[in-house]
Amino acid sequence: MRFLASIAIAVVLLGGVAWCQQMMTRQIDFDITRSAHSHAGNEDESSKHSYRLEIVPSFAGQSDPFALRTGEDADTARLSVRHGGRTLLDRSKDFDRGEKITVPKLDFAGEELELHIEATPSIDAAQNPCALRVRLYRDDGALCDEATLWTEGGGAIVSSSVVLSLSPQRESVDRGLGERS
Amino acid sequence: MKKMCIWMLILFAAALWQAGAAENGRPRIVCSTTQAADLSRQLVGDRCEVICILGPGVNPHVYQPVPNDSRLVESADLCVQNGLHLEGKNWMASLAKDNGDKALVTATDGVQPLDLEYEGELIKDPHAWFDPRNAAIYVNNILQAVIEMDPEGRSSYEARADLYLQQLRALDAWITKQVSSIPEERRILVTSHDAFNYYAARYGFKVRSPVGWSTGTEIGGGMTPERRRRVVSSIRDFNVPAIFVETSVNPKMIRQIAEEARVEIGGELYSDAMGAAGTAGDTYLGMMRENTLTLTEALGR
Repeated sequence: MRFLASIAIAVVLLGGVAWCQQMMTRQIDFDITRSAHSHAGNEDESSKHSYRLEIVPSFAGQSDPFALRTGEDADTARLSVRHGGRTLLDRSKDFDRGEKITVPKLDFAGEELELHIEATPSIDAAQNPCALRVRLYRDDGALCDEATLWTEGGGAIVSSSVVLSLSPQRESVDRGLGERS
Repeated sequence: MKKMCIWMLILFAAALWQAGAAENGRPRIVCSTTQAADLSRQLVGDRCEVICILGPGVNPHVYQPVPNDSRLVESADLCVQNGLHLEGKNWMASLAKDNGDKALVTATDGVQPLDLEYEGELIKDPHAWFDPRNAAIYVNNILQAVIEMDPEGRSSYEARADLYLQQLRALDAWITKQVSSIPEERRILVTSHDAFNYYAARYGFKVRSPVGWSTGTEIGGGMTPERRRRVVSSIRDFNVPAIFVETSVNPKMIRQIAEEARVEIGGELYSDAMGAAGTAGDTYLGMMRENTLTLTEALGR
């Protein structure tokens, strides 16, 4: 009798543990599915829109005597923007200090994107710290994100990666020597 | 046991032969000057063998090629010269032509040359590497030629060149900063011969040189009593704090002028050739750095 009672108790305990485990696993599956749906929702949201990138340098951009020249074309980019392996902008013309340079009709997917930006200040300008303001707008005019890239001067060019949100405005962050705004 | 030893010897010999074959399998680049060789080495790494005809401290203006130079050039896949007649009587171009018409890259192609007065005539100043922006042109010219020679290595050559160009940019900014510590009125450069015009133009020095540019003649051949008098008088007029000797030029004349003008010798500058291996000036970057420090220490006091 005692023997049978022990078996019954064991079955109840083990069964309870198994049931709890199964419930927990289902909960995790549910969370993952819900999260994936939510992410897909954001992607759908971002893929509905196109974006515009706006860049404003605090310096004049000129041809770079220290650029790598691999082709026949002697002119090299003063300002380039890359996303993954894609070139969004390769500007080989000079630009002025404070000039607004825009790259319209950009398609991105996801919640945020990483851009690699390189700009060549004139030799004189490069001696001092240089800043480059980057703003990302949605096609409906909403500001999604902005950042400022800095150099410390001493001849350096602006060359940095920046992560921008694709959802309309959240906290703005200055990178490098700048302060949080 | 004996057989085993024989087999081991055979294997060892085979390994050595393989290693030798790999060494010989590398493309060979033969350069006329130490600067051209250093810049080439920075681009190709260990993928190619880089050989320089001139040794450290050897003057390219008056160099006479020897039979071994012909053998070297004959074995080359690519030859590199400075150009603008730095190699007196175009000895590198002649070597490349006479030994199998080898591919030859002139590193100064595309440089905006400065004019230099020599025996009443204006000639192109060949010492273009003293402006790091021109050194960047050297790098890009050599890069193109190396890619043509070995297209499979393109990505690694470009990656090395990209890094080295950033180093040249940093060097240029650093020299500008260092030179700014010398008061403008003291930025007068008196050296053995006209090697530093590009450096002077880039960083705001005035150049006074007692000896003419000297392809085909001995250093000192350009000296005239009138020119010497002008140099001594300008040293006195401008109150020059120091004058400099060069590693590749006999310092005797500059010492005499220093004595005559009662001015001290500020140090030795690397000019037509870099320093010997193991010295601070055994690379282009090192040579430019050491020259700048020598100048700022002597003139900035």
